[in-house]
Amino acid sequence: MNVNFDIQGKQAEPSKPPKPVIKTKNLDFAYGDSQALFNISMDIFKKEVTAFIGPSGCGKSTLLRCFNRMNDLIDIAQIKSGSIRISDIDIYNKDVDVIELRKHVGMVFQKSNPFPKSIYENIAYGMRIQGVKNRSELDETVESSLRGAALWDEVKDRLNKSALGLSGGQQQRLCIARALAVKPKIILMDEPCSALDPVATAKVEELIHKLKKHYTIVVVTHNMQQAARVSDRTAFFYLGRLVEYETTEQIFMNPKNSKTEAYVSGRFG
Amino acid sequence: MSTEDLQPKDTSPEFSKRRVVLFGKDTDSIIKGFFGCTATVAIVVLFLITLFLIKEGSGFVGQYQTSLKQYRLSGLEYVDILKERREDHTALMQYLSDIKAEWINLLKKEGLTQQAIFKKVMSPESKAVFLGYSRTSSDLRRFIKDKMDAAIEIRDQQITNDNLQETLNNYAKKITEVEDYSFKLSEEDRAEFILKLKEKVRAQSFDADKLETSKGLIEGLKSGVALDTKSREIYLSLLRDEFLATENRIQPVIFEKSILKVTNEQQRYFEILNTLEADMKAILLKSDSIELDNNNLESRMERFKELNALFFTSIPEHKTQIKEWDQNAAVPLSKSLSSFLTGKDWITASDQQDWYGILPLLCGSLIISFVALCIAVPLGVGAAIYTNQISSPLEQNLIKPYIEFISAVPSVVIGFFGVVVLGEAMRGLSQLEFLAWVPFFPIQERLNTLTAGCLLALMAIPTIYTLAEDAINNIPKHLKEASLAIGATPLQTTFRVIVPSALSGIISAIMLGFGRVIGETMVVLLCAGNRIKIPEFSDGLGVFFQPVHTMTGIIAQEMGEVVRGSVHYRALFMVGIVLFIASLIINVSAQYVVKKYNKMDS
Amino acid sequence: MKRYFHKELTELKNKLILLGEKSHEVVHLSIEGLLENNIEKVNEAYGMDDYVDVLEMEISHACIRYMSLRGPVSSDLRLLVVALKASKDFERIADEAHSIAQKSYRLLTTEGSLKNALNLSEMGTLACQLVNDSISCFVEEDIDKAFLILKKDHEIDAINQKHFDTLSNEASRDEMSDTARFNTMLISKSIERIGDHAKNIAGEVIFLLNGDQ
Repeated sequence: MNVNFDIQGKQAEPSKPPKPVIKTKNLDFAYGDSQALFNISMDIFKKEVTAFIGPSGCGKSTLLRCFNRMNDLIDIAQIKSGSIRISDIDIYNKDVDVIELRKHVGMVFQKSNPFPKSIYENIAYGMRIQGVKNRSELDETVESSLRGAALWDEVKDRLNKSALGLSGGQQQRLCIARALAVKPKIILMDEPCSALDPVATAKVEELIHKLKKHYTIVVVTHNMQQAARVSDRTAFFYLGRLVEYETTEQIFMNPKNSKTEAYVSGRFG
Repeated sequence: MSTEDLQPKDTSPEFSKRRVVLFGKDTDSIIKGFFGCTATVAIVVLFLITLFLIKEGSGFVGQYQTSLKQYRLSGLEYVDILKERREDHTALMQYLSDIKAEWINLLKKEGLTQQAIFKKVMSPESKAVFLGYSRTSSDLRRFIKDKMDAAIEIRDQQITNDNLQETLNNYAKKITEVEDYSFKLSEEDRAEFILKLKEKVRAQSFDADKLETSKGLIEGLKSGVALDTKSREIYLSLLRDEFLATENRIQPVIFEKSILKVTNEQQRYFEILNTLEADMKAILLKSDSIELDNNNLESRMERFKELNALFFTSIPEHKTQIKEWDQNAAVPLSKSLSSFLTGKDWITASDQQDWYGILPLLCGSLIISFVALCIAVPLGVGAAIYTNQISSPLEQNLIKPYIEFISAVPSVVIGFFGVVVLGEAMRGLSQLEFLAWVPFFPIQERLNTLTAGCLLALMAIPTIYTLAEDAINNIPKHLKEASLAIGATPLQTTFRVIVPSALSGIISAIMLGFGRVIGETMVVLLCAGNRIKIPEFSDGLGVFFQPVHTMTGIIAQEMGEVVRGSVHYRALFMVGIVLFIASLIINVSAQYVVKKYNKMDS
Repeated sequence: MKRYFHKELTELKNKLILLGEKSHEVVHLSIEGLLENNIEKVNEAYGMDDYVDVLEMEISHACIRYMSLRGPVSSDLRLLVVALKASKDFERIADEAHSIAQKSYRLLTTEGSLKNALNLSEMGTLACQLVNDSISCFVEEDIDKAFLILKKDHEIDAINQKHFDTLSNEASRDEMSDTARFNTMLISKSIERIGDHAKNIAGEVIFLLNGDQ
């Protein structure tokens, strides 16, 4: 009976054990007196898509913004204890250059927010602020970023038109391209599709799937279907606590925690 | 139980009958109507104001044309052409005496005594030049003075005639009115009638019988009886007497004839000019003998000679101009408008011709606005960027209300401050020894363009600041976040993303600030120096230290003392219209800018 | 627009076809082994069942995974439901074939060979064809073929009935041992069941293509 048993239908397990790039340890975070995150410990793995889900106000966006220190913009926001290490560097260390950190950890926002400039200038902006003036270098980066965001074919003939003339989905992909232009390793996405129609959402999801090959991606989303579709791992947050963090299959097919189960099955609250 | 209460009742639906409050209208449409009415009223009022402005102003064109016609008919224009040479000569004289003054100064510096200087300057040769030069034109001056007097006489006679004619017309109208039997005496007429009767009685020009009637009539009129046939006769005769008397006073001017008084003696004039030329040439020859001993002065002397040569070459042209002058050349309507828009003089209430040229005022307004904006734009926009993007919340809470508070200071107070403090301070500053190197210091006038400009800037800053701050504040926060998330520094974000995005708003803020500045009256009236003259742009930067007058200032200053309906009155309205159009253009273009950029945003 | 996870559906489909083919092979082998008195073929058929079971498990897991992660609707969802049911049917077919192999083995070992083949050969061919057709109508999305299967199943039923009549006859008792008769009857019954499952699959394909029962 030597029947070949190896026709495995499941997604092939990664051959190497996944390597964590963002290590969060016992993180407590507060806005003034109100604590937003309680004792978060989680590892985010390289070249995977990690989704954060949870009801509004559960702290998932806050945690995301901790990863590139966007919370610095809010005066009262502060880390009370714990650490976040990206590539083994504590990003809240005093010696860390926030500007360089943000180049390393790009971000895409809920509302597509292209600058009121031409498409070309939007992408080139990240380079220009670094002082790049060489036209051919800029051209190259703009093209590769737009190709990376699967937008090149749609906009290559109107690079000098205003970015605000693009459709919502195109604008969001432009924002992704803009983030890619500074060559980050990690891309944070804060509800990237919440303002988009289903077709544009599908395109962005495809893009996320494609980008996974080269980038580590963290996505915050309210749309559980989206988390299930795009992510490899899913973290469920509730009231500032990390309730469950597992592979997406586990979370959606057989969650261990009853709260997670209730949330993903829509029986929450 | 409770769910059963919520079940809809099986009655006829509520929507079957419309809610009506008044005249078949519901509350909503009544409120809508009310607001519609208020909007309409506002628009109608504004429209009427515009209409009034244009109506009052438009009469100017015709009246000014008449005035210009008289100017030509009465020969004043001819005289003005004659005066050109005289004024050129005066300028040359001025130049020469400047040279003299400088020479004296130089000599003083060289340490010569008063007497030595006197000896040198008043040496026979130089005396002959300096004094002789001014004497050359005495004939010319006398001649022109005579002609001018003649022309003014003609013009004045004409104006008197016009006035008398008007009175005459009034009498004629009155007489026809009184002849109508239905005429009733008004209080005014009654008083006039009594006054005239009394005069007649006092003059005793009536016979005894009439005298009695008149006296009775006076009493009767005082107690207010109506006019009967007899008294009407008396009233009419009185009016007719007046009419005739006035008519007799009119001595019609026949321009063709009377102008001869002005234009005759052309040959003599030419002779005078020729003598003048010869005399001047003779004196210039003599001037070589003066020992100035200074390169600078000598070169100036050379320049003086060149200028004289220019003067001589212009004389033949001048002669033909005089010969060709035609009293009866037509004055088209457009001439009146164009001489208003391009006229370089604003001269009112002169004994000669009044000129209404808007250029000096327009230049004044523009140059002051320019100065004000040069100061206000960097300060206002800079403050806006600082408070919105860079400062801490505490500073923001301090700066914002404070700048906005400036706009609450009444403009007259700012003007007052300008006169008393800033003007004085600036003059004091300019007189300091160690600042003498600054060009144009010490300044001549305490009140000048710069003073007014500084103060106007103070008034424009809150406008520009508030609007620019709003514009910057309206830039969505997510743009800032996007830029920061790419790795831009906060300053890069401000200057590469926020400010460019807010540029349309900032530009419109600047334009509205410009509108505010150009329309401001009190400060410029008090602080601009009020000299009605086109600033000397040839002075370079010195132009900013000259006193000017502005469009708003002139209206405020002169409107109080003009005769309603006169050319001057209408000229001020024309200035108002120009001001109105200027503001309109500024506002419309500000809106255009905003709209254009907004289109790009959406 | 085709999404990246749509290929999971294709994989699932392929796997279902593979399952079908495997079960068809089992049926074919076991019946052929019986008719040819080939004990090796019978043994092979007997052993393949485990593999079919694993495949069926995998398919149902993939279906559930796809349903919970991808949120399928309409034809995608029908495909999953059909895959779930059809895989069950194929697994049952393989089970029946398994039991045919078992019976055949017993028959062949005790009796040496099948004495009276009756119409088993025709019946087996028909059943194999039905299974084959059920796969191809799924692959080719051929609804007419599916309806044809529904009809053909009656022929198998009729043959089975005839076998029952024959084997319950007095005459046959002399011809065959009781064991042989019962086993033959059970084999016939199993083939008939295979036909029924093929018919079910055809019904499911009709549901998949039509969208209604």
